[in-house]
Amino acid sequence: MQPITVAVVEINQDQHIPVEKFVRQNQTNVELLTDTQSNYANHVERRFASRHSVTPVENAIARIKRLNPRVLLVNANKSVDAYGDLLLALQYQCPDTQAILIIDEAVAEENYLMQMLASGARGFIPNNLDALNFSKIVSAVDQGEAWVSRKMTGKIMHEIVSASRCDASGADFDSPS
Amino acid sequence: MPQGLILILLASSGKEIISRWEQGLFGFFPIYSSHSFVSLTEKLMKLEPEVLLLDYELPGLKNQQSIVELINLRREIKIVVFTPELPNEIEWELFKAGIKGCCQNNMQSEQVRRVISAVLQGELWIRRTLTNQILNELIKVTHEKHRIEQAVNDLLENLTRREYEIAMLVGRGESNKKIAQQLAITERTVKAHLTEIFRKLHISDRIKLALIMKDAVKLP
Repeated sequence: MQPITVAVVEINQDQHIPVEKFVRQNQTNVELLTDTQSNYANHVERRFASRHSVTPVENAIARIKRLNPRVLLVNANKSVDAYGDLLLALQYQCPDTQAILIIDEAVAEENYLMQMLASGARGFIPNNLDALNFSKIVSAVDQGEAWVSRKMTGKIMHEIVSASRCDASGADFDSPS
Repeated sequence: MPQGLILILLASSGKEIISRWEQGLFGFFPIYSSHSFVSLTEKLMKLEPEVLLLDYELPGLKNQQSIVELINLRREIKIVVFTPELPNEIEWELFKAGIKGCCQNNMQSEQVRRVISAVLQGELWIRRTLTNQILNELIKVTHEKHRIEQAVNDLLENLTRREYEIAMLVGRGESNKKIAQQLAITERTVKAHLTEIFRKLHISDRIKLALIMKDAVKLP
C-alpha cells in the first residue's frame, strides 16, 4: 500500500510542529515530505525580502503544489487569519490535498476553528497528540472522513439547519436591479 | 449524566424496541411512550419533552416531512431516530431536517443512554462517514451566506442617504409616525421613501426590510 504523504505548512508561527514526534521512524503508512529550503521561517523571510510581490499564502500554495501531499498539516498553534485564504486557495489549486489544522487546544477559539472548517479544513488535532492517534487521524482524513469533535459537528449542523430555515423564509436577492 | 427534570419521550409501536429503550433509561430519566404519530404529536405538545427517541417505522410517520412537522411543533426538541440501515443520502436529509442523532434500531440499552447524554450536551450522534458531508455543506452554506451579504450590501448602496436613514429606523422597529417626527418630515414623505426603498431592494413589506437592516448592521 502506498504511504500517505504529508507535508507541513506554517505562516507567522513562533513554534514549529514536532512532526518527528508524530511520524515514527518505523511507521510505514505515513510519509513526511520535506522541503528544507522553505521549511524554516528564516529562509522564508529571506525569500520575501527579495520578492515583495509574493504573499505568504502564495508562497505556501506554490510549495504545497510542488510537494503535492495527500494530507497537509497546518501549524495553527497561533491563530492566523491568513490560513482562511490559504485553505480557500487550496480547495481550488490543490483539490486532492486534505488540510488538518494542528492547534493548541488551550488557546484555540471555537469561532476561529469554525471559520477554518468553513474555508476547507477537514479537521483539527491537538499539538500534543501521540504518534498512534496521529496515524489513525491522517488515515481517516485521507479516506474522506472529517476529524472534528461531536460537539463541533453539533454546532456546524446547527449552522446548516438555521441557514436552510432562513433560505425557506428569506427574501430573493437575486432579482435583477 | 444529566438527570432530574429532563423528560424523554419514546415513540415506537414495537414492544421490543420500547422495552430496550426503557431498560437503558429506567431510573435515569422520566420516560413516556407513544405508539403512533398522532399520539406522538399530542404528547409532544402536552409533555414538552427534551428528547424524543423516534422509531423510523412508527405508524403514521412520513419520513423527513413528519420530522420537520415534529420540530415545528417543538423547536427545542432533540430527536434521535432509530432505523434499520439507511442510505447515506436519506440519513443526511434527516440531519438537515434537524435531528440530533441517528442510530441502528437494534442498539443496546446502555448505548442508548450514552446517545442521550451526548445529544443533551449539544453533540451530534452521526456516523463518521457522514462527517465529510457536514463540512462540505458548511462550506456551501458559508459561501452562500457571503454571497447574500454581498448582494444585500450592493442593494443597500443603491439607497440615497435619506432612504438609508429611514431603512435603519425601520430596522429599529420605529413606526412611520415616529420616523416622520425624528426626521422632521411628513408621514406621507416617509411612505414615499419606503415605496422607493422596497422597489430598490426588491421586497414587499417592512418586516423584510427590518430583517435586512438587522443583518446589515451586523456586517463588518
